[in-house]
Amino acid sequence: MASPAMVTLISSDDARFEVTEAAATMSQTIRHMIEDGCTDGGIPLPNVPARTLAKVLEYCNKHAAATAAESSAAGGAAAGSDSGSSSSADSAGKDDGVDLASFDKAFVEVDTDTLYDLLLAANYLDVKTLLDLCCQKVADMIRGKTPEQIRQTFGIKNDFSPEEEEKIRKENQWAFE
Amino acid sequence: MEPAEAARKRARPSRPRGGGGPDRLSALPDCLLHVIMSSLKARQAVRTCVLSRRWRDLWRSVPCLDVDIDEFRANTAAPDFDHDAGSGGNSIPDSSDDSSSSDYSSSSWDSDGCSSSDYSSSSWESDDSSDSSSSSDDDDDGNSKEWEEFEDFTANLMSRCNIAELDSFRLHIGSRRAPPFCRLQARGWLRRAMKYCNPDPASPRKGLSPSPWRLKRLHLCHMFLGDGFAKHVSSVCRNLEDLELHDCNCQIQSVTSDSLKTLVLKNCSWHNLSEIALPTLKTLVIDGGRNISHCVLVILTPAVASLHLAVRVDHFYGGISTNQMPSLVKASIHLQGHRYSLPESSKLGGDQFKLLCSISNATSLELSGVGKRVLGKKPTFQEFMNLRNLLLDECDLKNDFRTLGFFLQSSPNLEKLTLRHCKFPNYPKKKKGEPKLNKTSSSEFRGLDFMCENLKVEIISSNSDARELVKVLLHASGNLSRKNIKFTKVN
Repeated sequence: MASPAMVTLISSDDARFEVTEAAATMSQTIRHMIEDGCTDGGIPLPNVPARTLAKVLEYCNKHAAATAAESSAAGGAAAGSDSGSSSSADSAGKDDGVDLASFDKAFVEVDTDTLYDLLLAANYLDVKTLLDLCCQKVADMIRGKTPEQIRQTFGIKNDFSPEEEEKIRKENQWAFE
Repeated sequence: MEPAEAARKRARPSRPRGGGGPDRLSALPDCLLHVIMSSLKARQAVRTCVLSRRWRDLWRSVPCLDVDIDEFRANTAAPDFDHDAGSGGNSIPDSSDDSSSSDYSSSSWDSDGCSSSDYSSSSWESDDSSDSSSSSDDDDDGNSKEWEEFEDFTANLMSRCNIAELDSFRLHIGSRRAPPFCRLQARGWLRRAMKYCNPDPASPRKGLSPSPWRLKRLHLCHMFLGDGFAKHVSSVCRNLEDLELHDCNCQIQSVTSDSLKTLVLKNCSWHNLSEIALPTLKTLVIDGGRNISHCVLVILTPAVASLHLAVRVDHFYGGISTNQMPSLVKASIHLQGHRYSLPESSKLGGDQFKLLCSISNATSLELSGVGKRVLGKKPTFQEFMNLRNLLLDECDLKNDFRTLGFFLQSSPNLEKLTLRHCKFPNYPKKKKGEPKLNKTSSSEFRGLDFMCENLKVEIISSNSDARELVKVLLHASGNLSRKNIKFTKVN
């Protein structure tokens, strides 16, 4: 098997990462740069520090590999045998799905700072599934909380004067009943 | 987390924990906060308005609204206020097939009254009055209070939120917990939202001509929908790509649109659905539900790539007729009750040869639950040129493998055949040698040469007699090798 095409990514703090093109192009931003032929000497990503880029690439590598496995499983069905084992291409694919879901869940079990870093990087790099994953995680942290609990969780400063807050609540009374 | 506690906490003014680092959440750009808020249900999204100035008006332009009565269940009720918690009640949404017919007319869709004014009992006869009674069973204090809150909230939301800018809208009203007229009210909200979705919410009544709505996704549960809705889908929702209806009661004859890419219809009751004509549709799912009148449902979706059709044959008496689907990749057809139905009881009950022809371009086909009559008396030849993967699930193959032989002969490129919980003919066993085929089977399989040498066959069955099938297959084809046949016994 031919070795896969590799690209080099350079973080804002000049760390170099070599990854497969398949993983890198999960980022639409990088995909466009590759398509435009701006890859000589590595692709600079001035908005993403090494620490965050490493984490994003962990996600991309995992998902790119899963995608590759899925398509090869779909292409040539796994070698069948008369052994009576119940594994098949289909069930293997489903296992991968479960695996990926638990990977995703664990992946965003991080402190909020890291989560914001990931979120912003996913936005800049345009990795839609990662962006959705991070946003979903933040939404999960908001869900079911009172406004005060939300402020506490995220360190949001209430900059309303008491009168203003009263006014807002009154205006939107219908949502607080 | 619980209401009472939360209310007490709120009473004390408190500062952000640990003196507060920078508030990086609020520092995110609007578009990202909107994505985050889009994962919240509508009430919680609106409630972010009191967090700080930064958040005050964000909800007004949130691109996705998820309005769900479940958010108003007593046990998840407003944490800020002292609620009579407890009576969550029997509030699981009723997803069963309640074909709740009613006397509600759809004719007033376009009338511009208050939402409950389009109650009329003229247009068609009810043949099932259980709806109102089943609703009132659950209509205790908790439920009506819940509904009132939900109603107030939704009516306000629909008039204050920037409906014109919505990308995605989901409206889920309960079926049992709400008063009987709830679906009509909800229809009123939806109608107004669709009708007055012009970009200026301050004067929604000006310029009554419907302007195109940028809405891309619309997802409705437990709604009453009339032809007016269908008209708006085709004339106002010109950007709609994704329409999902769950447990809706629809007096809709025809679903048409020039933009829809995905249509999912789950457990919907149709009164006389006769046409689904969607030239751009890629994915079509019809799962459960019924078409009450005897009209035939004609599906014209020439671009569809994925088709899932799982209906009871006796719930679609008039049958379903499909045009050719040349772009089809994946098809899954489950005709529940086909094995036991008489052809005369439903047009979907017998010969499915025409349906199979229309999906003959699929590369992957799952066919579930069909009986011996699936191919009618004399199927003519139909080639499944692209078929790679065929799953026959709970099919009755007792007709001396006529069905199986048909597929094997017509699918030259088949790579994987799975037979799961199918019924096979019984062959008298001999002590040695191959089972004896009767004449018909022999002729079905005669000349049958599996053109794909790499065909893999998997048989999943609780009946070890299905091993006989292996012998039959090997007998019928010289190309098939035993090591490509896998037998899995399950209980």
